[in-house]
Amino acid sequence: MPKKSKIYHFPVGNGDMTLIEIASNDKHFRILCDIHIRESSNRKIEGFDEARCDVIAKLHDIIQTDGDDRPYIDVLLLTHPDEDHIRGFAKYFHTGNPGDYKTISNDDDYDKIFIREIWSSPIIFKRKQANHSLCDDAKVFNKEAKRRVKLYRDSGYIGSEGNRIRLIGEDRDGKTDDILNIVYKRGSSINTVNETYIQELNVIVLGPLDDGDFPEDVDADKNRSSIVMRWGIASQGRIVPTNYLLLAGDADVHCWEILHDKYQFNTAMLEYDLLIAPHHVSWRTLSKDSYSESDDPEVCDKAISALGRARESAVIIASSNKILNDDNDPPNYQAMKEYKSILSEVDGEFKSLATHKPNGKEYPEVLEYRLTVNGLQEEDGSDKTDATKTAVGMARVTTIQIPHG
Amino acid sequence: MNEVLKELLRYPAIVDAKIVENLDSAWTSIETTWFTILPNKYKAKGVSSTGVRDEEAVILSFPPSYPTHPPSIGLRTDFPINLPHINPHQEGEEVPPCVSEIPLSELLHSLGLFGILSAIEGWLKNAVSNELHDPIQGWEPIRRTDSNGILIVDAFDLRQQITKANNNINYFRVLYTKMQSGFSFGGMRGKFVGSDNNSLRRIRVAHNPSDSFNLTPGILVANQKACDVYQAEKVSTFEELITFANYFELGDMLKARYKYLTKKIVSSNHNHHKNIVNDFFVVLAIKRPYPIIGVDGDLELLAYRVEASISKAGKLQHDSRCYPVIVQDICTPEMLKAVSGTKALPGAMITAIGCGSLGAKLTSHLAKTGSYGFQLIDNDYFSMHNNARQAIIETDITKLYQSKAELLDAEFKKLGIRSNALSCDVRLLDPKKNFYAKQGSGFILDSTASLAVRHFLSHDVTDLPATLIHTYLLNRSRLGVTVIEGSDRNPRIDDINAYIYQLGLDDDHYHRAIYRYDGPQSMHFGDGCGSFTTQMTDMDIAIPAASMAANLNKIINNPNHENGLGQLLLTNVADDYSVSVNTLLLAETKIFPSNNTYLWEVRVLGNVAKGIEQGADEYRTFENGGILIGQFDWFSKTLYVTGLMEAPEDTERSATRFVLGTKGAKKALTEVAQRSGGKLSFIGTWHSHPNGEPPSKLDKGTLHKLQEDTKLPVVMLVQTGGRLQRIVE
Repeated sequence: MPKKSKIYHFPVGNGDMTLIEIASNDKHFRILCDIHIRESSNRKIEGFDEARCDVIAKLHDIIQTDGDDRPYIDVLLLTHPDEDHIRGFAKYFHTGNPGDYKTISNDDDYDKIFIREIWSSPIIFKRKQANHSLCDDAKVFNKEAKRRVKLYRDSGYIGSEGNRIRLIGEDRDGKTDDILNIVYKRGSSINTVNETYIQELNVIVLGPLDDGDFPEDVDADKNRSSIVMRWGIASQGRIVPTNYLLLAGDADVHCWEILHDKYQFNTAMLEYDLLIAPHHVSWRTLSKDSYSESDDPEVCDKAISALGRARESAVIIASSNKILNDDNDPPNYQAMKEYKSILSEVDGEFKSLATHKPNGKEYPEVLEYRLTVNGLQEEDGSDKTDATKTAVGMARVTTIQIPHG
Repeated sequence: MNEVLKELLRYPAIVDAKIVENLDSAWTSIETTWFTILPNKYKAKGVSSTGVRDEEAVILSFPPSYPTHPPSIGLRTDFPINLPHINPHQEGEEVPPCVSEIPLSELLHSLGLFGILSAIEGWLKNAVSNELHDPIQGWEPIRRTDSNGILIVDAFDLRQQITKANNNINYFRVLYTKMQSGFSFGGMRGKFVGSDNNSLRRIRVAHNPSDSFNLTPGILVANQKACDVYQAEKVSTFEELITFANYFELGDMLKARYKYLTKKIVSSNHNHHKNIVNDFFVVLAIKRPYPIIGVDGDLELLAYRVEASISKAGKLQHDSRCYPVIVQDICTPEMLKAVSGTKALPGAMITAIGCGSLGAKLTSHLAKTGSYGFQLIDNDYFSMHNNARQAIIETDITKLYQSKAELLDAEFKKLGIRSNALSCDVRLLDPKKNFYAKQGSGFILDSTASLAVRHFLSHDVTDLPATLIHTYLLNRSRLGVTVIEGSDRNPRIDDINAYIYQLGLDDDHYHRAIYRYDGPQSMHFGDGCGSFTTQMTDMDIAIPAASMAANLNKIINNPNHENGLGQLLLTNVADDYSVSVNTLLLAETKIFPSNNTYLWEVRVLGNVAKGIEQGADEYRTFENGGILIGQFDWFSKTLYVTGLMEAPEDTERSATRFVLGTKGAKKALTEVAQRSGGKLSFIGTWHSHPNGEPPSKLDKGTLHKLQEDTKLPVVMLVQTGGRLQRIVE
């Protein structure tokens, strides 16, 4: 069957985890954007929460193994190193020399996922460390990213899979000036994944923004340093994108204000068919006023305008906990209403991953869209029974003793 | 059927299913309603851009023989048909989607009814999102329901002509016949005659009563801009043809020119009172956004025969009948290449010596890739018993006792490839003058398995116009041997065959094949005491031959890969018929030509020369040496040094002397001779001079003595000053 491009949104509570699967030249290229794998989301571990989606199992179901039997992804993109965007990295992903990869010998856990190429931004790590400490998973990621950068710096050429890295945005003080060949500057477009040109792909790097982009009175904040990308994806074999995705991590209101100004005469660069509402539907993405501390918090018009470039029938995804009309933020109920207001102009749809329970399931499921010639097409998400699943089901019978007389 | 109904209702995408009453048929129809998820932008409308709705009815009709036969699948009669992957049907019938690349019966029996339902769901999903066209798979040609004829063309050549031509309009000749039913059968004759209307003068319009074939003109109209319109064809009149052509922006061209075709027919028929030809042909060449499925190119060809109704005023009536005709390719090398996936290969001209069971199979495999031309040389005649194992099948007694080369040539010509036969003994030819294969674009392939031919190619001919490849089978076809000479014929086929003898000595696995097997099981077939052949099946030969041909194809199309080294491919067929190939690379042979003093040419195989060099390096300050093993060829007076035997343990070495010991040497050499059936034996010695001195008096004296004692042209080699020398008296 011909391969098709898809996007998978994993329900991970207040966190992000998105897999973009691009069909090109009869192959699939998979880019995993952020991860948030909580222990209680792993059925193989004691304490698994039945109300949660087993996201690591779902991820392993989708990805494939390579010639060395390693489950792999082509790219891991980390928008920024907050824990809710990198949790589970150390446990579930291989780091270090590819030659040191070892498979897990028992069924109690998953083989680590082999990352062929990493995309991350050096400046966001610096900003995070300046203001907050890195979580353990972020430290491991940072170490792995630095290992790969060093390999490139020492050899001068792009290494083999498992040693590759691309930096999104330049570092400050010219620290990436000697390795610009592996840097995607802001404003550039990307159509290569793991050193393979993909005609169906065109990604515009909108952020991270530089320090100099912000007004002097704006304090340094980690959320300004999210990678922001607008993905244009064509159906396999075609060149003109028919699906636009806007992924922005936790980029906040200041970021959107600046992006509005930068692209006010080229608003097409901010258009989308699918937006993951930044920072888990946080109010602070849309407003400079604190929702809890202001009597009458107002949205920032420019931020709303920048985030309002929804194309006809666009979808905005809430990758967050269930949105309730309470004081929580994120997610924020009023922010959701603002997004819904944007969507009302274009007959769009607001989708909450926390409540996406197709076919009467008791836990949220992965939300999938095909990326087609005619735009986004939702998959029905039903479990189809087939011969393999039936046979696997039979095996479970033997997990308890069967007495005979 | 109740179980089927339950399974249908369990399928998530099916929202409803009910059996449809039909008392007239033994078939059971179940009408199912499917929920199709529309792309987001069409959800509000409830129908996609392709006309597919968010709920679609699918009729599954189960035959009484189900599950031996699968159900047929039908969509509503007004389902949009401007979509690919819909099977032919008539207006008013249920629209049959083509949901699977493999037959539905195979799908049913591999994955069950679930497999068919999954395929339907996938088809609907793609239909609703306009993803039925898949550029990777290719553009699906327009569905033609009412074809009533065949037009044979060299489609590959035609597509090339269209691409090269600067004009989008071209006239051509057609030779065709019509049956009473209206079915026409014809073919395009030759290339385009031209694009201006005057070129119609070069086309004759005529009817031949003796064979009922007609000559008439045709017109091809093409567009240069890719068109992604998929339009169901509904053409039965000329008017409808124009309307259809308009979808692809070809209608105007046709409208501008058809009157000249009409005029041509009218004027040609003017003097005929009988046998009027009133047809002309139209071909629409539609450029698509990507290659057509199963075709090497992006031009879709749709052909029509117009049965012209012409008014008294000489004008074509627009309600003239128009019949779609199927474009049928002829077999050409380009077609073979496209089907074989070998389009990108440069190919070669092969001078194939020997068209026996191995040679015919090797060349046939290569021929069918479309990438090769052949000169076939064999003077042996074909006998009835050859049918058991030959690529040729010939039982017509008038064709028997023709040369195998001629018969094989006739087969190759059917494929449209370049081929020529020479029924003569190759040993009477001058390869430089008579072989078609030339270096850089060709190869010589010897599959005669004849030692005499091998001798001829090795010794009687010094220069060959192309690289020589030598193939044969051993041990009842359990070992296939492919020898490829190195650049400038070094190593040469006789060198590599000498190496094979040494290999058989050293390696138990090959020893059996090369030196002993369990007898040929020969039988006598045909007349004459020379006409015996080994009992084997066609499969026994076909299995190694296919592997050898595949490797030849790879090597021929990548000739610089091994940097000019000689190659030996050993194709091993195990008892269970699995095949493994061992590839060995052979360095240049060190050659010592004959001279007035020493009448024998000495050829030291590359690996042996290397071994001597390494042996000399082992004892940097002492003289070292050993025994040479090899083969004498008395006909050509050639001595092949194929292997080294270690010096016996009582050998003495010093800075200035090397005295070869004797302990165990005789026994070891006897074993060599016995194990090789006398092919290999002691042929001389080697030693080294660590300080680079030339051969000494002692060396020459020893050589003389050895030759006297053995009465053989024993050779002595010395490694000195970084190079290998032959000692001569």
